[in-house]
Amino acid sequence: MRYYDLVQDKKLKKAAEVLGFHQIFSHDDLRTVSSDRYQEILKNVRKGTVIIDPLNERKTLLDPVLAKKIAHKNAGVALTLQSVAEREGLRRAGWIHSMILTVRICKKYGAEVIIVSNAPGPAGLKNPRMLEAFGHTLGLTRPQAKWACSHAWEKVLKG
Amino acid sequence: MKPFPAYLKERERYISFTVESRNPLPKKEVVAAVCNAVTGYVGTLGAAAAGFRVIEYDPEEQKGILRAGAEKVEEVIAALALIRRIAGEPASVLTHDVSGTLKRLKKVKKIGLFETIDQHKEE
Repeated sequence: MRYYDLVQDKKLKKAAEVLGFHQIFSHDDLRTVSSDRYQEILKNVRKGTVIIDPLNERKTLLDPVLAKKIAHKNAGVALTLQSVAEREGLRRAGWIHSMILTVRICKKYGAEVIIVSNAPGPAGLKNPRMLEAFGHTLGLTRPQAKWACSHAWEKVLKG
Repeated sequence: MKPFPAYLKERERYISFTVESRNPLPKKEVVAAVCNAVTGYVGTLGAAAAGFRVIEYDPEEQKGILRAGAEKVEEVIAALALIRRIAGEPASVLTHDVSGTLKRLKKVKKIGLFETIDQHKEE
């Protein structure tokens, strides 16, 4: 199975082989949307777009309209480990809650969920098994979590 | 004494992990970081339900073994994924194998993540 990941720093791409990834992307390689404004995300969803963390600490930005559009356009919703790691306490709890709601909506409307590390440095890099485990804690089943780190990427990249 | 019924026994899993950092870190700091990460993510009650425990840690090879209940393995691994610093130094905890017995986990070796990235940076 081919695993993929998204990182912030291009130099980390070389670590892909050591950790067992087939390929690691940086933000420049993909069409990414990272915004906490609903209208901006809705406007920019196109084929092959990766929407990074469409949520905030209080709620998810996904609604049936946006989720259906994401599913229709074969775009992906990326949930990042880094965003959880950089928060602490109640802020982290709120963020994870929003992630769980996002996963629930994506599952209902068939939008692809992607679990990524979005690591800014080497300490943020994790192996695929750990990303899967993180996906599982967000409400995905084991096969769904595996899909979110591998086949979901391929589907989104095809567009 | 009546024997403990088999169906009430906890099904345990052992998780092997390595600590990736530029300098070797002391056992005390690593164990504290791992315990804090797990209690921070799953909570005290979750850690108790998981039967979480650090079985061993070798500071020279920077590898260790954790124990957790079979149903809580994913949560413990996810908690370890959130560790970014140990003793103020950038560090990463990577899990390798999950097994029902300790014997299988003895072969795990450190990857050398930081060293690999530094090498490629120099090139």
